[in-house]
Order: sequence, then C-alpha cells, then structure tokens
Amino acid sequence: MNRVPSQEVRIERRANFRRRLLLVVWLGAAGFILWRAGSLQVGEVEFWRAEADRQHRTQAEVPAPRGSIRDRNGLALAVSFERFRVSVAPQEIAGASGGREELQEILTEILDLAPGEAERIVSSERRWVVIPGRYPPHVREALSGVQGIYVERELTRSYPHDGLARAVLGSVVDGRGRDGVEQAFEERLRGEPGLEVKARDSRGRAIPGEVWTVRPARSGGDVVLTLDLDLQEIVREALREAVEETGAAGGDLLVTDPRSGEVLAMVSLSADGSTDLSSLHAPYEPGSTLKPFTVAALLSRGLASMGDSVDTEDGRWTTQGRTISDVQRVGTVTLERALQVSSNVGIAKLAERLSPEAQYEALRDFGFGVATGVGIPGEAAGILRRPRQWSRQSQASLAIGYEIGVTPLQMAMAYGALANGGLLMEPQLFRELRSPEGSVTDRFEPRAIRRVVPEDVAREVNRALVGAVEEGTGSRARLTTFSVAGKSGTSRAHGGAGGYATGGYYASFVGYFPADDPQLLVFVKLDRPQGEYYGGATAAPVTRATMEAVLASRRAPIDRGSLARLERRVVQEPSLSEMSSAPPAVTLASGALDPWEAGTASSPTTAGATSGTSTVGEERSPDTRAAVSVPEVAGLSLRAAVRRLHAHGLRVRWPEGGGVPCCRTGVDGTVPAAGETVSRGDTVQIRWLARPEGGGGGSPPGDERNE
Amino acid sequence: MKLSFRGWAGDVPLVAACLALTLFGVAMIYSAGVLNVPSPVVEGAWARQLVWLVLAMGVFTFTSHVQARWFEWAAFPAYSVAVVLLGATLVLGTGSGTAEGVGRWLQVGGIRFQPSELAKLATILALARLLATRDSPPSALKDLLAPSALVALPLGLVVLQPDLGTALAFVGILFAALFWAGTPASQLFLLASPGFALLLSFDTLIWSVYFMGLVLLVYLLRYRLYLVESVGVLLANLAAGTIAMPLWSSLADYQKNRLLVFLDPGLDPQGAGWNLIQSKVAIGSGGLLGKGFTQGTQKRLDFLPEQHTDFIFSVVGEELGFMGTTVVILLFAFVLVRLVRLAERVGDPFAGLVLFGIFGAWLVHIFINVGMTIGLVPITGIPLPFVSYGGTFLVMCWLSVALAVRVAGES
Repeated sequence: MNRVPSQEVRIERRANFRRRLLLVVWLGAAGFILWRAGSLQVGEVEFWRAEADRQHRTQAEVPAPRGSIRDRNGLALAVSFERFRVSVAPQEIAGASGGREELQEILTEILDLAPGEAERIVSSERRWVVIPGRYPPHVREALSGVQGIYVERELTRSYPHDGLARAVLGSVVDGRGRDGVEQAFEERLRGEPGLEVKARDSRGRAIPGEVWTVRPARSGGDVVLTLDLDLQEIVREALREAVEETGAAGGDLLVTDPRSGEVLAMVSLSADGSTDLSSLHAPYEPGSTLKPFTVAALLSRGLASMGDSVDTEDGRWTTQGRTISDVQRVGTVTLERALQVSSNVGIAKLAERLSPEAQYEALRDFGFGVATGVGIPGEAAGILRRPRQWSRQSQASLAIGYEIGVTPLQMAMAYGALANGGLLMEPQLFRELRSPEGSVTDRFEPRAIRRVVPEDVAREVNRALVGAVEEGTGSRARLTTFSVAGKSGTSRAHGGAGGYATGGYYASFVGYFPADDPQLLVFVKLDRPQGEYYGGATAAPVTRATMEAVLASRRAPIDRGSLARLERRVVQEPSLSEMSSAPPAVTLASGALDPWEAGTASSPTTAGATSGTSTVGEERSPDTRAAVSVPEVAGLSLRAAVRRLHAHGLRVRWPEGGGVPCCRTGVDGTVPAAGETVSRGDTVQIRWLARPEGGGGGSPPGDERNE
Repeated sequence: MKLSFRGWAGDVPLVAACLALTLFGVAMIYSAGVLNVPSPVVEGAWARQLVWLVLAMGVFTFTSHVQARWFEWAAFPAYSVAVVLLGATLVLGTGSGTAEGVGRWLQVGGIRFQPSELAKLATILALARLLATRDSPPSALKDLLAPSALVALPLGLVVLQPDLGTALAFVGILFAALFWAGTPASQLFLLASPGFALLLSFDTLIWSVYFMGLVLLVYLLRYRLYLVESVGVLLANLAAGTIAMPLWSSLADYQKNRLLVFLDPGLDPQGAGWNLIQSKVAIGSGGLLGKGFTQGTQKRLDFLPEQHTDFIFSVVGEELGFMGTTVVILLFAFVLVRLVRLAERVGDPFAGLVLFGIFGAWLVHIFINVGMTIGLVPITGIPLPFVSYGGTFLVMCWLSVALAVRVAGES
C-alpha cells in the first residue's frame, strides 16, 4: 500500500534533497580543489621544485684569488687579497633584548665605526644597511656568527710598491690579465674559479647572505720574477734623474746578469714620468754600441786581430758614394783603439773584410732581428735585413750600427754574450712558479741559445771595452773600485716621418762590471737628450750611478765574495796594460763593501780578508755594526718609509701574516719604535693601520682594481 | 519590537572553525611579510589584521545578540544603503594597497572600507526577506524576476568598479538562495542560460548546438513555461550570443589577458600569466610538507604576487605543503557543511535562506580564490574568507558568522 505522504513531509523531503545536493556540490568542489592541489604538490612536485629553483637560484662563478707576482726575493709586486664588505640587517636583531646595544658595540669595536654612526646603523628602519668601506679578513672572522651581520667577499688586485715595474707586470681588467706578466701567466695566476649558488629575487637581484658554495675556488699560483725590487727602484730613480737632468724625452734602463741572462731590473720612462715597455717593444738604431759585434765578427772569423792597423783617413772616408766621418781625428790606429775611440771610419773600413753574409750571420747570431723570447706579450723582433735586401752602403752602415733596429733587451743580451765569454743567453724574466701553497712547481733555468763567438774572442773584445771605459769614449762610466767594460753609442733619432729628426739623438751606453767576471750588465738609453747628447757624456754617467747604487745597496743580487776579490786599489789605479795582462790587483775589503753581510759571503776567500787592510775608497760604506737609532717613519708612505729605513742601514720586514697593507693611509710605526738604538743591519718591522679603504676619508688614489 | 540580549546560544563548532581559520590567516599574513625583498606594507599587515580581528570580534559579539527579527526588518534598509554606497563608490572610490588602480574603497573620515562587502551581506538579507515572503516555492520563471533584479542591481554596480570576483559572489548568493527556496533546477538552468550562451558564443558551432538544445528544453518544458518566458529565454540567449564579441572588446586588456592566459599561461609569462605561473610554482614546489613556516622561497624572493591578499593560499601551499592545503580545505569544508547542518534545523524560511545565501557567497569565494591559485579557474581578484588580509572583508565575514549563528540559534 502506498501511503501518500503529507504535504509537510513532502516539503521536508524536498528540502533534504536540496540540502544534500548543495552539500554534494560543495564537497565536490572541495574534492576537486584537493585533487588538483594534490596533483600539483605531490604528483608534479619535482617539476615545480625544479621550476622554483630555476627561477630563484643562480649559479655564479667565484673568482679564485689571483696568484701573486713576486720579485726574486719573494717580495710581492702584485697581489690579490680578499676584502670584505659588511652589511647589517637591523630588523633581524630588533626583537632580541639588548641586541642593538651588543651589535652597536661590535660595530664600534671591530669595525672602528664612530659610536654615532654605529647607532644610526643598528637603529635604522631599513632592512639592509651596507657599511661603507672594505675590511680585511680578520674582520670576517671576528664577525662570523653575529646575528644581523652579513659579510661579502671581494677580490682586489693591488700593486703595493707604488707601481714599481708596472709596465712589466701589466694589469688586470675585468678579472683577466692584460699586458705584461699578468697576461703572459694568466692561466697560472688565475686559478680555478669556484662555483656557488645564490638566491635571487624576481628582478634578478642577488640576496645577500643567501649563498651556498658548491665548489670552492682554487687560488692561482705565484709567479716569481727575476726582477729585484730594490734594484728596480734604484734603477728607476737613476733613470728618472737622468731624464730630468738631460732633458731627454725618455729612456730605457736594463740591468741583467750576463752569466744567466736574468733581467734584474727593467724600466722605461717617458719625460712625463709614465712607464712603458719600450725596452721590449721599441726597436731603435743603436749606432756605435753595435761596433763591438762587428769587431767580434772580424776576430772570430780570423779576418782581423786587435793589433791590426787602420788608417782613419783624417776622420773622413768616402765609400760607395757616401762619406763616413769621425768625431775625433785619430789617424792610424789599431782595431782595438778604433773601437775604444769609436772611430766610424776605422770600423767601417775593416768591416769590408766581412762578406755581407758573414756580417749578417754574425749579427743574427748575436740575436738581432729575432725576438728574444722573454715571454712578455708583444715583444718586437727588431729589424735586420737579409743581405740581398742591402744597398751598397749597407755593409758600412751596419758595421757602425745603422740600418738595423734593435730593442734594448736584444742589445743587453748581445753584450751579455761578450761579457760571459761568448754565450748568447735567453733573457730570463721569470725565476719560478709556485703553487698557491707556496711550493715551487716550475723553476726556470738559465738557457744558452748558442755560442756566438769563441771565448778568447769574447775576452779580447771585453778587454778592449774595458779600455773604452778607462781611456775611451766611455770614461764617464768608470768606477773607482772596479774595472768596468762598456761602450757608448750615439745615433740619430728617428723623426715622425720615417727620416731622422733634426738634432735628435739616442744616447746609449752598455756597461758591465767587474770586467773580468761580469756580474751585472747595465744598459742605458736616453731618448733625445738636450744639450750634450753623446752617449758617453749622457748615458755613461747613468750607468755609473746605477752601478754605484747597486754596490751601495745591501740587497742587490750580486756576489760580494767574488766582487771583493776583483776590487782594485783606488790609490794605485792599474794601467790598461796591467789590466789586460794580469788579473787585477785584488784588495780585500768585503767588509768595506758589504759591512752587513761580512762573514756570510759565499766566497771563502773573503772570510780571511775581512780582517785585513781596509781600502781607501771614497765611497766606503759605514762601519760594520755601528749603532743607529731607528728613524721616525710614521705617516710616511710605505715606499718612503722603506727607503728611509734602508738609508739608515736597516733591514725591513713586513708584519707576520699581514700580507700587504690594504690601504695607503701610511705607516703606523715600527718595531722597535722610532728613536730606539739598534745596530746597523738589524731588522725593523713596519706596522700599518688596518683601516678600510674609503671607510673614513676619501678613497686614496691607487692603481688598484677590482677583479 | 525590542532588542533582546540573552545568553549566547551560537553554534560553537562553526565559530571555532571560523576563528581557527582567522588566526591561521593572521599567521600566514605574518609569514607573507617575511621577505628578502623588503615591503613595508606587507610586513605590518598581520598587525593591522589583528586590529581588524578585534573589531570583527566586537561586531560578531554584538550582532550575535541581536534578534533575528531585527535582521529581517533591517534587510531592505541595509540593501538600500549598500546600493547607494556602491553608487557612491563608482564616483568617489579610491584604490588601495596592491589594488591601487581600481576604485573599490570608500573613505569616510579616516576609515576606508569596501561597500561591495557590505552589499553582499545586505543582498543576502534582502533576498532572504524577499523569498521568505512567498508561501510556495518559485516555480515559474517569472517568479525569478524580482529576486534576480534584486541581485542584479548591486552586481551590476560591482561589475562597473570593476570587480569581477565579487560579482561572481553575488551570482553564488542568488543561485544558492533560489535553489534553497525550491526553484526547480530546469528554471535555474534557464535563468543561467544567457550566461552559458555568452561563454559558448566564442565558437559558432558550439553555440548553435547549445542553442538547439535550449530550444528543445524549452519545448519539453512547454507546459511549465509561459510563452513569454520561453520567448524571453530564447531571446536572451540570442542576445547574449550576439553581444559576446562587442562585450569582449569592451573588456579592459588586463581582463582579456587574464582569461587568455588561463587557457595558455605561457602566452605572457612575464605579464598576465605571471601570477598564475608563480602561484602554481609556489604551491607545487611546496610538496607534501612544505618549505616551513615563513620559509617559502618564491614568496620571500618576491616571485609570488599579492601574497597577503588574493594569493595567501599560495603561501600556505608553499610553506605548509599539501598537508597545509588539505587542512585549510577541510576547515572550509567543515564550515560550509556546518552551515548546511544549521539550515537543517531551522524551521524559519528566512533563516534558511540567510544561511544558504552565506553558503553561496563563501562557496564562490573559496572555490574561485583557491581555484585560481592552483590553475582551476581564471585569475579574478577575490579574497579567501577569514584568511586573506583585508579589514572590511574580515569584519563582514564575521558579521556573516554572527548572522548565521543567530538565525540558526533562534529557530
């Protein structure tokens, strides 16, 4: 039986149905949402995670700390160091009780901020405050783990010694070496960049503090040069003075060790004080400094001997339609004398005995016309034409140093071959490579390219060049204590349009000493000196000044033991004949020369000699172990401070682990302090302020760049 | 009539669930302000929301002590005031916060509020009042005219702001109330049919098939429809199909783009598609357990837009994972189920209609807000009840709760 439901029950049923339907609609919608959310968050989670990471993470290379470039004694010429930028997130410590005061104290103590500034920073409403300036690494250690402080690393390249040898070192632009050693050893210095992941926001800005290291950077290795920092400075000053005094437009000065081919110092200056690398890049016509090679070619081929006479024709001789003239009229002289007085006529006449091929070959053997392979980018090869390109006059021209382009470095190396007994050495600018940890990984050994002339020929030319200094055109290079061999040169400078400049000359001088066992070779070239322009008059004194400064310097790379054996009595100056026939008179006096290193010199012969008679040298060094008081150097630049300490006969040491000062605010003081009495030769440690650059006063000028 | 304050007899589970959602919302708004890219406005939002919550609690406590008769009595005056305010908003409205460009706020003295939120509640009351006066369910299409017009007025004003999301809430209110009032499903379909015609008109073939089906339906229902109604429905559908293209071109570019990128987010990933993509990335990358409270990377790094208002659910999804989204959806499910359970107990038609009006409004809010964050529906600016930041909205949500527990408690 069907019971007909009452009206109320029907309404109730219908209402129930509608209620349930609405409920089902809603629960269906909620279920749909949950299903969709689940498929996103559980099913596709990997995809969306990757998408999120792709958006907000960015992989960045971390530049490795660049290796240092050091001089032969390990002193830094170019260094990279880490500095740190400090930022504060004031809101992060807002909640902690006393957090602000604590943070303010940390800022004033560790970062040396003014209390007012520190307070302003910690109570800032901003979310992120970057503290101006960069701080040394110990600041990072001190700040690590401090709530609300973030430290970011930056790498900076610095050339601490006031740009000394900058032209050789090159520079770093955008993290890559440009020019010089920085470019030549880019691979080595650069190291291996690390990898890190940074968080970035929707506009691509990196978020400070959100960094994860994936692979740490590996520092670059060090490059140790053959350059000597002290010598480099001496040489630069000598050249600067010469350029100023002579009014020259510039000049080049090279110091090498002829035995090994090592370049100990290399400076090229312009009148405005800027430096470049014209010693490697700019060939010039050498003039008379080339004559010894003509002579060596004649001797080694048996075409002439030093005793051969030549008539210099009253100083004028016409050959192949051209007249060659001499400055001095010397009449009929020996070849040796012709070289010493630099007779163009004499040398050109005798050079006719050489075939063009032999002459070319001889010059080529001495390294002219070929890049020396010193390893610095952009080295010039110079110009040496082949005989078939020669004119009728070329032979005579080449004999006296024209129609040829040589670089100062080529010239220094060629003279080195005469000095060391006939071996042309490869110029060596690099001594060794070191790993970031400091161990030597590669050592560059001296390399002889070829024997150019027999040893006896080299010795004969050498002897003649001693005469050139003693009694010839190079007399102004003479030293009182050692015999010096050398040759001057004066050649007409090139003008702008390919011809010769009117009244412009290159004055040059190459000298080496001690003549019988040369240790140092000095090449000097002045570009268009004003007034007196002969090389013997302008460049030779620079050579002497350089040599004297080297002898006076305690750290110059010379073997004082063997020098002492070769030192001569000034009072009893040996004649040329004595010099050439017998070993030079040996006086002792290693003590006089090197009071600071007496007893430690390498040669055993000096040890006994120390107690012997003292020489009467005019330029004797001060007495051994004399007491001096430490000079005041606070406030001076590092370089000036070192120089002043050196001048007082003191050794200088950097602070332990201090690396390089981060700034040029100057030297803070010394240990022992100024005024204290120490012995000459003692070591003084320099202290400097660890103040961030640009933190307080203006950013000091300097040749530093961010890599 | 008299005001009567007596012992509070509200539905505790409903209030507890809403309170839980609100406090959870404050926590998520706090998290939304924890950013690597500073945004002062968002940072302090949670504290302002707390202030609003205190106000909302006051409103709730007061209202839940007001007799339901007063609501019934106040329905039409409130509705009139709301409509006037909506009209004023069109003239005087200002933008605010992240919705700077659109005039949805009205400033009176130092207080800014959204009249559209007030209008929703007023419309619920007015509609309930209107439908409750009938002694039989609306069975003819013409019976639906008055309620539709009642809702269409505030809806139209809101669309003009323009605020498409809130407008949809009005549609939800209308259909939920009509359905609960006993309107046959076929009539509701016919009422909605111009809207379908509008949506389907983008493809002529589909629209034609739809229209043929509609004609068939009208024929089948011929005994339950007046001729005028049948013709009216068909004409309305024709009109909707015809004005679709002009209507489309009259939409603002950003509205068009929102619809287009819903179909293909890759169309403009840096522009209109950005919000949708970023929301999905944030929620999807949250995984099962999330990245941890305040730890969401997409939020912190400023990828997630509107993270404290319309996209608060994305923050939940990113930081608390699927567990978090499930808890939130279940809480909402519970709240709506509870509304239905309350309606079950009420004998008074007005009370039931109010409950289902609120139900309809919240359903639309929840489904569209959450749906847009997970890519189910196009992006429309509509907040998540109780959870999203927004003062007027929070107060109105709690006023709704007060109405619900009051009308239910009295029956």
